[in-house]
Amino acid sequence: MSDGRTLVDPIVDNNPITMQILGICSALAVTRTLFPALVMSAAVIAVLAFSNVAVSLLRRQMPHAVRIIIEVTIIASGVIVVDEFLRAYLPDVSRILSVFVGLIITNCIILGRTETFAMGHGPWQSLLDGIGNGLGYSVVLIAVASARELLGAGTLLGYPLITVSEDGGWYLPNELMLLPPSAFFLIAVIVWWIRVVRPAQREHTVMSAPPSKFQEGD
Amino acid sequence: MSRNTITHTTVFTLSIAIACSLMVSAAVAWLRPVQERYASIDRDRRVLMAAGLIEAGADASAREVAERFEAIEVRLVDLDTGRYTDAADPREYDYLAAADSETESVEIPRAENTARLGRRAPYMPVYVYRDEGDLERIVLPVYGRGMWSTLKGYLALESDLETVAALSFYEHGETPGIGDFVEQKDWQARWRGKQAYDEQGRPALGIAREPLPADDPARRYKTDAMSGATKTARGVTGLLQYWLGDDGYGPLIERLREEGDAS
Repeated sequence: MSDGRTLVDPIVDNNPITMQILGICSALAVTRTLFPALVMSAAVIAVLAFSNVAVSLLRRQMPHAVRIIIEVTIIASGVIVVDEFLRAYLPDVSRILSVFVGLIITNCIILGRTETFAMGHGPWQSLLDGIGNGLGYSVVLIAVASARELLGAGTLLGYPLITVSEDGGWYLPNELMLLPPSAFFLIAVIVWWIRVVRPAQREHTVMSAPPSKFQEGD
Repeated sequence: MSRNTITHTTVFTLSIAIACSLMVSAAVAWLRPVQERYASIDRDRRVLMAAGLIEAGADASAREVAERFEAIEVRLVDLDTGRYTDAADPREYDYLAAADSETESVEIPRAENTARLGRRAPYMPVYVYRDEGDLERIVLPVYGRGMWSTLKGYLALESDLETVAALSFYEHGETPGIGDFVEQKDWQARWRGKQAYDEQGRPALGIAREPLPADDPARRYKTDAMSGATKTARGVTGLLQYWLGDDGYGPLIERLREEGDAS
């Protein structure tokens, strides 16, 4: 695959959240307002790029039996460094993101990329793949967070864009948007929309329920 | 292939572990001073808010905080005598760590232990705000057990050392939606103007157990009852009683009233 495709492909065509449905947990938790979502996106891009490159450099020496443990160790170290960095320079956002920065370690996107991509590609390709997948994650996070902050509080990045009824405006904020389930609905809408625009992403095999042992009326 | 031998696997895993731990330790060691500086600015900001020198919720910059904080004098108080002491640097003194330390901490008498702490530090830092030399406000760190967690906050008294200027909590782990009223600005604003002591000079400040009639004299000391959050409310009342009492800042407040705050 060309460098350009490696970078751009995961943003829409093979987006880790909407296509592979990975990394949903943090996408629900940190998208209440836009700024923490931006910081979270940057953190995930940094961790993904770092661990992809590190795993790619080590891939020829990597003992097969312990490779997942090694990958997780590398990811965890990267995450701790990023977490400490946020605590030092963005303490307020770090408090909002709380455990979700640490939980990047268990974000399936990252282990997924190191295991399926970096183990089989060179460092340069792996770097691009890491950044690309990080951007794919960020696009969804930013879209969801923008919608939630705008509809839930009438602001973006804290700046009021819609005058809410409390301040004499016309808009009564939708408080559902401030609660985690709204992120579920928004992600579902995005997944739906992408699959309408790109029918190739639709799943082909529809799983049918296994035949029941008991017939109706038993 | 040789990379799957036991020796290679062991050596490789160990080297990765060592390399990663070095990376993490280096990052922590390098970033710690920055984090501590932010933590101390944060603490100063909360003290200034409690003293009413910056507006609650206002996003005061680090420089603004440092400038305003110059108006505040930090003193270390020996809680037994109520006198200022030079036993430690009041800016650096960690009273929570001292309360945990076996050698430094002091046992709280059972009857006084309304904050449910068990032990306390021998000294506490207090923050004195003066205007042209006269004590204007004094900010006292207070903490105690709520339902699940330790509530940490600041109680600010006016120059008469009776009237509450502000009460604010900055850290707690109470039930979201029930006990977390302690962090709400509206609730914190209710304390303004309440009296800390009753006519007999006993600590009386707290949250009412039940709704009080509008003309009840206890309204001088009590804020409205909080339905559904009995234990958190009891914790707040308990910690206020303790810190205003004889084992807390009682001796200091008495001494300041009699002698003024010249050390």
